[in-house]
Amino acid sequence: MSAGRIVQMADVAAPVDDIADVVIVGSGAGGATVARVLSEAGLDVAIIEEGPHVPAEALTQDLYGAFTMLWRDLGMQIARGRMLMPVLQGSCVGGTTAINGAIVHRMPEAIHALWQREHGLTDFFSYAELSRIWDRLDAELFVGPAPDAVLGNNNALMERGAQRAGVRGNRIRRNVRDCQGAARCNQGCPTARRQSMNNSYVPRAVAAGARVYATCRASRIVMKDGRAAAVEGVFHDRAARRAGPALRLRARRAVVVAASAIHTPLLLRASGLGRRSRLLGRRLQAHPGTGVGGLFDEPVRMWFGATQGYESTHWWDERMKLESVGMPLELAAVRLPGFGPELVRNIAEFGHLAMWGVQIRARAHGRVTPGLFGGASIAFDLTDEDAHTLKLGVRRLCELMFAAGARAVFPGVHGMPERIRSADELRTLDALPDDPRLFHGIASHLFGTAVLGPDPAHSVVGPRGELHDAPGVYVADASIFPTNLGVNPQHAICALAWRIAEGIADA
Amino acid sequence: MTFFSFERRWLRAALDAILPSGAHPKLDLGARDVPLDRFVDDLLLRAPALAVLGVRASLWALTLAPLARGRLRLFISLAPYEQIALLEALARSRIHLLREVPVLLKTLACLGYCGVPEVQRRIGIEPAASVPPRWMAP
Repeated sequence: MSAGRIVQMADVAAPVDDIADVVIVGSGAGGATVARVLSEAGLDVAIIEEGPHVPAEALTQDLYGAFTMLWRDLGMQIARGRMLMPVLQGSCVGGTTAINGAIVHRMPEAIHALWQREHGLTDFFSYAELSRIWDRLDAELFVGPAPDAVLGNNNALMERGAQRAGVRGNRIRRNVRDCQGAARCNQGCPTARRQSMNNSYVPRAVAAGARVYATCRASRIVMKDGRAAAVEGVFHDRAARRAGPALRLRARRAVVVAASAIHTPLLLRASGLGRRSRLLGRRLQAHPGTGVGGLFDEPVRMWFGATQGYESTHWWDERMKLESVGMPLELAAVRLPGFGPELVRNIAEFGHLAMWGVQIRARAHGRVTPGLFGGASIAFDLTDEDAHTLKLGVRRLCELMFAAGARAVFPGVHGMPERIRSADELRTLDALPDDPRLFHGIASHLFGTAVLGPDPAHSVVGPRGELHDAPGVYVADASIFPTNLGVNPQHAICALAWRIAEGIADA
Repeated sequence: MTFFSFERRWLRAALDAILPSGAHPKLDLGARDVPLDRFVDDLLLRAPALAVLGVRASLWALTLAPLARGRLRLFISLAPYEQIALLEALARSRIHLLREVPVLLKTLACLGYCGVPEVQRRIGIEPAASVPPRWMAP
């Protein structure tokens, strides 16, 4: 077995050929977890990751700098529907776990039961097995609620609003070890305290001998004698838009694809795999969301505290979850009302601004296909029912803002006043049609484009994560989820990936 | 992809209108007081082709919007108060894609401007960024 290391474009001058027991595409929640399990089980592991490895000391302090280094397409990946909606993903070692809000949830039991009942989930992924893994994950990733010392006022105000309004809520369980409250989770944790995969399972796998080939785009999975044999890719310099040497990673035992619900189906499609059911790339689901701003007399100072520290699942049965969303000035300013002097005045009050968001368990299904200019073409159109849920979510956020003491609220909904001063004004919102174009939404948490199931006619991946039509090729990311979850999916992805890795190790 | 010089002038006018100088005693810096040209250059270099196309289309739509409203002028030649009125009118448009025009340009302006350490200091962010964004380097 070779020594573990991280290799990037700058380190290679000639084509690279390597061999490992298991080759993993992607180093996010799924890929890194598989790498951690298999490398520590004694298997030789190699990872190919499209984005760069960015250590904490190399992070920039501005959001745009983080976009260029850590985010896919500078945060400008768009889903097309009646509304244009940014689809947020990481593209770096650690994947989206390096830029998310560090929110940890176990899969709701109701969703697990639904998958068992209607989507053929077997006992291989029983809730008991997943709970065993979640216990391990909790311990290894230092999962716990945001402590008082770094809660920050954006989160504390939401807690106050929920308590006053009698709304059920809780401190968010986060995978952070001794959080310093830098409030920059979405820019890559500057203190490396957040236990994203680049700070936890990737280094663990490297310590156990895994090689990580970063800044290298996987282009094809190669089959030989009917089994997974290799992954081919090309190193690239994203800033200079320059391709570098080729990479060939041969796999003795398996290839695991964990490149996200957007890019996993594209790689499988480019490799001619997973197409038997005609579901590859279809049934894309998500948790779209939008945000509401509130202006308080007291200082909020979103620049300190856990980026996301409080949430309410009070209305989970109504397909929505509310959460605080600490935003850097660059993002928050866009959500402020007005142009010209009014906008500048609002920006100057940033220290008194709170931002909270609603994410919904959308009913919409979309589709991922290869884009004209490379990358992905994402079609995703919220249903009118989804728009209604968003509208309800915005109403509840506004009510919580006023309950917490906001003197003005910015609903951010077309057809409403940009600034409202009491909950009575929400009648305007109620009168609006259920139309997704009213909102400035974003889509995060993507699922379902290589769905798991027992029947090859109705699923892409079999009951243990292996492609129905390609022995030795596994999928270990949210592509395999039959439905969205209604909660942040990182922990669910990790657990399913862990179980798939155990299956590979036992095979 | 890069912009023609006249497109740069249009963009500069749009950014100045969105974030004017001297609008607030605490925050008297505007878009023209920070080197947003360099930010735009960097963005055009790195952004995906479709996003750059979106910025360019938005810029043209904003520039020509007065003509569509019966004024024989471009956005750049409107008085500042007329520019703001036009941006706000577009943001309230019944047509979703037209509403996205000022939002996209506002996003561009804020993404560059709000990352400038001096802007953050004046707002009171503590600690403000200690290192300027890379795009600010000459």
